[in-house]
Amino acid sequence: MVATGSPGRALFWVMLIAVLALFLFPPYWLVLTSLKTFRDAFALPPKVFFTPTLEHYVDLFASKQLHLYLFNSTVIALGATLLSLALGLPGAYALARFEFRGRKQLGLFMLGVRVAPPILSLFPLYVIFSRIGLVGSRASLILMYMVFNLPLAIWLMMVFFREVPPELRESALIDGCREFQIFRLVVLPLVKSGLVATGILCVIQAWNEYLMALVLTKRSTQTLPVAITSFMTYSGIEWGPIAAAGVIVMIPMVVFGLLVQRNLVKGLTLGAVKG
Amino acid sequence: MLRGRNREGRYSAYQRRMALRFLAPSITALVAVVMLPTVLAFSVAFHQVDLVRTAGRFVPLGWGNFVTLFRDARFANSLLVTLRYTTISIGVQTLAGLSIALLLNRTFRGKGIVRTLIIAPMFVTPVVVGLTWRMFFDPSAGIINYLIGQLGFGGQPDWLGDPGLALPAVIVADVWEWTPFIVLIIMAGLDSIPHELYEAAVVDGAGELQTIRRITLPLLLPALAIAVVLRIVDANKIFDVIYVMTRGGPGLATETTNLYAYTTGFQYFRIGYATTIALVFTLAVTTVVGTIFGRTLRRTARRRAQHQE
Repeated sequence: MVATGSPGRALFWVMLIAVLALFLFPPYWLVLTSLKTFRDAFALPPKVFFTPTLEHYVDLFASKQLHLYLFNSTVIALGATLLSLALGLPGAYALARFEFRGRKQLGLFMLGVRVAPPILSLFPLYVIFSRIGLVGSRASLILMYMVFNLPLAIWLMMVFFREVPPELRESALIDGCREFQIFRLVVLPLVKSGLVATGILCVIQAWNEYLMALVLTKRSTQTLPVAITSFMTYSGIEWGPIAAAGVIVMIPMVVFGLLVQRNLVKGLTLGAVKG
Repeated sequence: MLRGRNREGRYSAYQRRMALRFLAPSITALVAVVMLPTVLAFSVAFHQVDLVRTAGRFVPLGWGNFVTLFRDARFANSLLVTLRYTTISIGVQTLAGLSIALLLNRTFRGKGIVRTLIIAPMFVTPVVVGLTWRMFFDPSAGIINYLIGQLGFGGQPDWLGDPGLALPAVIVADVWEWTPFIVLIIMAGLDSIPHELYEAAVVDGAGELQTIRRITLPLLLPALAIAVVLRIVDANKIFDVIYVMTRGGPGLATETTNLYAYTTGFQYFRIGYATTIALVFTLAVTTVVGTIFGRTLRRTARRRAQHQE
């Protein structure tokens, strides 16, 4: 709209760079801090040029058992996501393809789950879980994330299932296929990319979640976010190791998130705004 | 006749049966882990359930918890903090997000990369967001006070330790994390506005500001409304960033209702009362959000109908 070389154009680039800098500075600074020695980290003026060290990263695995929490987070996020998809995919398919009374209401009910704060169901569940000895187990968190991600999985997959032409199902029915066979063998392979995007969004949500993980884990089953905050309290604040742990927790999710950005708008608005 | 096809206006029994079969697993899971506990929460709220004093047994209390709640100044404070937090934070995010999206609404080299980079904050683990900003706001070693000093302003405020500054500091972290969300949704909304409208505006001799006010903003309203409603829903659930930055302090300056419920339940072990807090809060939020959402939906529908006439 604005001609190249005009003052408007220059102003645009200045503002653009300022905006980008604002959003990218914090993670950039976190990475820098994680690579600084204790003394460099708190030098004022802040050091931009310094000899990087990996000591904090080494320390995290050597003395803080980060691999244990990395394992917990991975098992819990993957387990919950696979289960969400296993439960949610047929459900989303039914909501997208079959006509039945109460379809809209059912969809809205699932949205309602997203609106209710998890803390409300967390108290009664905590009482139940502690009676049956589930508090402190990885299974309790897998169960929670599985269910709390279901609405996301269902609403997002509904959008993708609707893009599959209904004629495919009808001709497969004529060929004598059963409904579940059609779903599994004909429809699912066609929505692979949507499936991956949905799975990634579920993993991100489970990996990043804090409140339920804080309440439902014990020392040996802690996920990464809980583990990091526990580094914070017991020896004052050591920014080096905390920054390094923060980088390890953050990087995979940012990469995943940027991978699915094409499907992101659909996912984050549960299909309400086209991406 | 083909199996599964329904006659006009009537849903076939076959399709209903199939749908039920496909949906049964997810409905069961949602009922078991969300519906039942919610129903149970109503019961818990009418009991004293204290993990220490009553060893987790349910002691009937009638409306006792609710009476306590309505006289509880700390609860009132938490509602006020939550309200301030959500309105200021979402207000700033909406304005900033809208401006940035309009800034990016033109063709330039590297637009794709910019769009990708700008949404990165949304994926940063909230606990890490909190930690990073806590580091920035550190009174002696943080970069924010350093910059203030360099710019020649006196004073080294203790951001997270000052009751007047802690809430704004927490809001800054939230604005950083979620403005990209608004940008993303508005950009998607902008893409869906037909080019012909802009071309027509140019032909009619409309200026750039006039075009934004008369064409862009009205057509953007539905996307903007959805973005804001989703932000309201999520902002009311806020826990992690605040917990990491201030634990609700100093004093009660940043204690939102969620934090208060958490502290009551899992630090004072008064599960019954904590459930009452969460229950009343949830009912209030659902009512408010439901009203706003319903109104926006109706307005959008009306507008669409007008356009079609």
